[in-house]
Amino acid sequence: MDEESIIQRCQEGDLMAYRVIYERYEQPLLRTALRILGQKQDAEDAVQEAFLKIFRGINNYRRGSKFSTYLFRILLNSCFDILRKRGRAEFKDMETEDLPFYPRHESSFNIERAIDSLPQQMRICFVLFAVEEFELEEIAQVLNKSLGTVKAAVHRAKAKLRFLLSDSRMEVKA
Amino acid sequence: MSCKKFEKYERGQMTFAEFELHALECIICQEKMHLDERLMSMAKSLAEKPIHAPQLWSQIEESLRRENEKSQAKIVEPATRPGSLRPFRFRLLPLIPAAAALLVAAGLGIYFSFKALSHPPSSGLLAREALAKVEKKEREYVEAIEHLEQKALPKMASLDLEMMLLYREKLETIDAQIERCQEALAANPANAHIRRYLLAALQDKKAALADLLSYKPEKSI
Repeated sequence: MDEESIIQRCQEGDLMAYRVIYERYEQPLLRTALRILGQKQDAEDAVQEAFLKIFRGINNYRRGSKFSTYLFRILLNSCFDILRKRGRAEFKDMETEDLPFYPRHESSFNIERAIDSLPQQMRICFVLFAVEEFELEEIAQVLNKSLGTVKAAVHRAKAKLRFLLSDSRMEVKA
Repeated sequence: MSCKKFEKYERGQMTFAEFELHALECIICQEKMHLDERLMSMAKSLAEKPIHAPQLWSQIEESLRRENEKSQAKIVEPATRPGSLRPFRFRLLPLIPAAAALLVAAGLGIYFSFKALSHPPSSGLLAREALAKVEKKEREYVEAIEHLEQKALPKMASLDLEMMLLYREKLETIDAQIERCQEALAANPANAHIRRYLLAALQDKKAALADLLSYKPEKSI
C-alpha cells in the first residue's frame, strides 16, 4: 500500500494504519535517535515521543511535503528535548563543540564509534545522508538549515571519517 | 602531497567525467575515492543492523489509550478551569449538553417504557404481554440504531484522532453493555431488570450516534 493511502487511513482514524506507519519507520527513527543521543533507552524515549506527536497531529500533516521529512523533523525535536533535559545545547555549532574521543590508530575501524565522534550537526547530516539515504535538500528541510550548511556538514563529516578510516590501518570492524 | 580535486568534485565544482579523467592519473584521488566508497558502504550497512525495542509499540499504544481515557474523563468535569486545557475543553463543549440530554432521555425513556407496559410481577419477571411490548420497543431501537450507524460510522472515521477515539470508546462501552444484557437474557428472557438495562443501553447508543452525527468539528486555527 502506498504511503499516501496509509496516511489518509490514519487521518480517517484507522488504528491499523498507525501500526503500519510505526513498522515502516521504527528502525530508521531508532537508528537516527541512537546516533544523536548515544543511549538506547533515550533513543526509545525519543522515538516513542515522536510517534505520539505524529499520531496526535496526523491531521496537521499537509500532503505535498514528504512524510519522512515530516517524521524526522519531529524526531529531531524530540531528541533535542532530551538533550535539553540533559543540559546540552540544542544544535551545536560544528566549530565550537568538544568532540567525543575517537582513539587514533585503532587497530580496527568501527563505523559507529567513528560517526559518534563527529560533532552533532555533522553527525546528524551524515547519518541522514549516508545511512538513511536522504537527499541533501530533504536534510535541509528536516533541520531547517540552508542547503549550503548541510552540504558543508556532509562533506566535512565524510572527510573526517575518511581520515579515520585511512588511519585505522584498513582493518574494519563490523 | 595533497590534491583537492576530490573535494571539488564532491562539492559539485567538477563533473564526474572531469574528475574521472583526473583520477586516472592521481593516486591521491583514487585513494580518496576508494575510501569514500568503503565508507558509504559501511554506513549503509548500519541500516541492516536491527535495533530491538520489543516494548516500544505497546508503550505507544498504552500512552494513546491513557490519553484517550484522560480526554474522556474531561468530558464530565465542569469546564471552568482556564488555561492550557481550554481549547480541548472548548472542543468537547458540544458533548456536555448532549450528555445531559442523554441522561434525561434515558431516565424518561425507561420510566415511560415501563409505565406503558403491564406491571411486572413482584418477582421481577415480565408477563408475556409485557415482554412482547418490551421486545417490540427494543426492535424499534435496534432499527433506529442501524439506520443511524450507516451515517454516523463513516463520519466517525473522518474525525480527528481524539474525537474518534472518544466516540469509538463510548460506543464500544455501550456495545459491551448490550452484549452482556443479551447474553443474560438468552438464559432468562423475562427478567425485567435486565430488560430495563438493555433498553437503557439501546437508548444510550441511539443518543450517542445522534450526537456523533450532529457533532461539528471546530476549525483549527
